[in-house]
Amino acid sequence: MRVPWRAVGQHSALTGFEVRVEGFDGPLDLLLELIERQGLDITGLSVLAVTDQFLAYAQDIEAQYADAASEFLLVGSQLLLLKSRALLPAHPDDPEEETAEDLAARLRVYAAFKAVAAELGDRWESGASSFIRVATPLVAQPPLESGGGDLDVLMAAMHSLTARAQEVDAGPPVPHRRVTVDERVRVVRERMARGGELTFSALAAECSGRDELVATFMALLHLVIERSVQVVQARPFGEMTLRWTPPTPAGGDGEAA
Amino acid sequence: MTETPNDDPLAAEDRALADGLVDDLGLSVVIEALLFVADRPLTVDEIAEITGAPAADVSDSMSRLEGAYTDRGIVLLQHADGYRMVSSPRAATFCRRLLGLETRARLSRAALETLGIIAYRQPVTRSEIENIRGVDADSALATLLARGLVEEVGRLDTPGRPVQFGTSDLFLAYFGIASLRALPELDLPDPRHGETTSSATNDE
Repeated sequence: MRVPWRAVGQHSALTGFEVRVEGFDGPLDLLLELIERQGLDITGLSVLAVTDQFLAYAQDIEAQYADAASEFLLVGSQLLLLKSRALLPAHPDDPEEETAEDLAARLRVYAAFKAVAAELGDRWESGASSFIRVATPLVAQPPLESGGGDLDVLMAAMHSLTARAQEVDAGPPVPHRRVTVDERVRVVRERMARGGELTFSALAAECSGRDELVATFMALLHLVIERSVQVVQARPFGEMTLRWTPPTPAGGDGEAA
Repeated sequence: MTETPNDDPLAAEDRALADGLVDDLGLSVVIEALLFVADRPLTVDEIAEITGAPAADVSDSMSRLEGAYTDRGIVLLQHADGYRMVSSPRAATFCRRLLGLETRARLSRAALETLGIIAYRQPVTRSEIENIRGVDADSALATLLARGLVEEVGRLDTPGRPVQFGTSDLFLAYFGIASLRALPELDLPDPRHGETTSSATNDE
């Protein structure tokens, strides 16, 4: 069974990789699984009993994902330390003698939560949720009476509205032109093909109005995605330089490899 | 609904009238109506303020109400100090049908384990979770936060002031659990786990 396993201390690109061991999640999970497979109770002794198996798995993981295995290494080294202690005569009042029991205790806590998780999982799967009611207050609306309207009031309201509207000088009518991203993609592409390199502010300066600027920016993002344009910015908030990197002619409409 | 115009004589009169009404109806009846109408959790203090009854009486009536709902289609859900009326989890299938809801996506084992740790050990920090699981908890926490099952409940007063997480009232509703007290007991025979966490949630 293949189970996705998240790397210890890895916060980036490695999230999706898989470890091909039976479904476990991290070193404690593996240790627990090994102990349970032997039918043992969690004690310091059983922790030691599966040391070799654990190390075999840990080595396998380490070989495959060297930088992801630190937590396995840690638990593995703890086990090795414990085993060496078990083999060698120990100092009677060694304060660190408890470690096998500590690891077992840690494992026991983990096992308890694993059981809880299974129970929660069952509940989740069963879908036995409670639902919250969305309260809607009844808003008392007085019913409209027929014949109750007053034409004069309506006219007065209308007059005051039109009077106010005339006070505002609307200025010359502005025809509203619809700017599309497609259109801007075409424009930018032509512009870039001519120039080769261009700064973003130069491109922005050529836009008339906010609509066009926004559409141009979206068009640029599109071109970056299809890798026709490369954007270089030397420092944060600095000038962006656009570089025309046209696809191979055979690729037609900018198919990126 | 939070303002209380104490010095308004009219309101005082209204209040006296309300007191009489609460006596006539019985506090439980009034509380039941309030919980039914409210679209958010109501606290005991809030109800005490609205009804003019002492908080202790409200608590009493509340537990009586809770008892009365054991075999009904309605359940009282308690989160933090708020109460809210929700449908019984046993009727979930039909509620879901009524609301046209699909069954939800699965939660990963990592997310469930993390959720369990938060439920029993709250308030708990990320590193405490990671310590128990022995694995990085980033993505599991992100999932749980995104689904609104857990929330930030505070910060620990230690260097770095790490965020503490707790379960939300949605967690209780999603899992059909009436309150944190109703969580199944944590199977930890040997509680000599004297760490910084408050691990008293499981038996009280």
